[in-house]
Amino acid sequence: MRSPRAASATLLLAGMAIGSAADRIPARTATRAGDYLVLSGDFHVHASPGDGALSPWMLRAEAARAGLDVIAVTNHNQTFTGRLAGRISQTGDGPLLIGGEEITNPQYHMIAVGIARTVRGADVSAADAIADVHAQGGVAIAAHPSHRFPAYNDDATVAMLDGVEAAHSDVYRDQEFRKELAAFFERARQVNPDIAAIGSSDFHAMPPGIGRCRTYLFVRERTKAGVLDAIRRGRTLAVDGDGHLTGDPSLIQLLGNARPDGRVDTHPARRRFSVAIAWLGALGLVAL
Amino acid sequence: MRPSRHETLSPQKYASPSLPTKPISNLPDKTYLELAAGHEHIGVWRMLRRPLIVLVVIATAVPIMAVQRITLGLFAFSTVSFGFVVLIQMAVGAAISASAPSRRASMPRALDLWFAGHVPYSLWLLLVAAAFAASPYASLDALIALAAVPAVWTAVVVAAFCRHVLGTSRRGARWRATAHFAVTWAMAFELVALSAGGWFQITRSVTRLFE
Repeated sequence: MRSPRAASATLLLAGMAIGSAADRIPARTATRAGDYLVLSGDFHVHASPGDGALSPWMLRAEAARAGLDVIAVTNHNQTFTGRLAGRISQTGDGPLLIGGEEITNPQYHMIAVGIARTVRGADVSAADAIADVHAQGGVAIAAHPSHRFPAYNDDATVAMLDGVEAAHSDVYRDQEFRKELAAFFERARQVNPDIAAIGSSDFHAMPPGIGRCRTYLFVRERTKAGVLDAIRRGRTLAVDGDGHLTGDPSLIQLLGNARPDGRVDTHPARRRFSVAIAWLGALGLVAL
Repeated sequence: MRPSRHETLSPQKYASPSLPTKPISNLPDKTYLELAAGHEHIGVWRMLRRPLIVLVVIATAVPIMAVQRITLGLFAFSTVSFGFVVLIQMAVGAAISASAPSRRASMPRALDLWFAGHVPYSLWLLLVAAAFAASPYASLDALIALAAVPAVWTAVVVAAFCRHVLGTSRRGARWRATAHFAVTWAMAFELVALSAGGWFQITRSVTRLFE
């Protein structure tokens, strides 16, 4: 090899080539429960451009690897990337991408799914934000509700919500947060018995990846309208990373032992090997 | 070839196409002094080589960090998505270089040497990627705290760059290194605040660390 840098670049390219060859996404089989098709969704995902590391194109492929049928792109206080995702969703096969926003205010964070116009979170109350989301045909979900977000102390506001995050990736870092989510969901169910239980990853750029916590949706059709309808009517179950289900007991019973396919890692050894040699190649470019 | 510990760092050696960056990181003053004495004129390709390496490192580290996977497609998309980071750094390097009337290198050469000082942050980025590739539960707080190391290290490298490549006084170098440090972190925080919904998100995160 002519120089250490050329060797490093070769190593990097080899890693990428091996990684590409090992990247196979298996076909998914449909899961049914009663009259419904059961989909896996993650409605709290951040993307680039914005506060996420992966572009909507990359997220779609990653969603397929994670065994997700639908994801919502919900960047903080902007809908540009979500709208971009919605356009991409209309091309080719793959998981549905729905545009949205994480409406962000010191008093609350709220996931809006299925909206096109930005709700200016800094300027509006939670109740007004929910009303705006509904006016746009979207659904409003309380994002990681905890003591940090006092807007959700108001029962009237909670009653307006379509869904609540009852499973969230951060529960694996904070056990107190897990208890808070469970308590909030119970309270929300008392205020609004049809409120949807939502499981979300809140993926930005770091692990755990998308779909670590997810939502099972009982839909009549695999479309954006079908997904939003399932959330509005509370036909969802929140699933944490260990497979525990939260939500309407009748839906848990209906699902029985059936589960949609989860994440599939077709060639884990090759994937790890490709990462290792690409990383060494990059290190060589920097250090040699 | 890298010089041995006792070998003289001659300008001719460092003017070679395979200019090593490690001595700049280890001995920034001595190495930049030698490099600036070389008076080498370089073309556009040589000027872009180091920025491209920085971009390659970012585009490799981000997918590894985010999805523990690297493919040609992920690399290509990351290159496009994060090209703006390198462009900002190039603009900052050009602004700092242009601010020094007694610069000892041409602008392309100065930019080339400016990016040679990116090694500390590149190594930190690769460390973060390796940590998340090894374990999805690596401590993000600890890795962010570790960024203090490249931040301080880079300030030392920038000061050396200003003194020996830009020909500033010791005081001028300190002033520019401090300004660079402040602007870099202010821009980083502003970017985070903009994309995360407001500065209250940052203050809340910092507050949580002390709860």
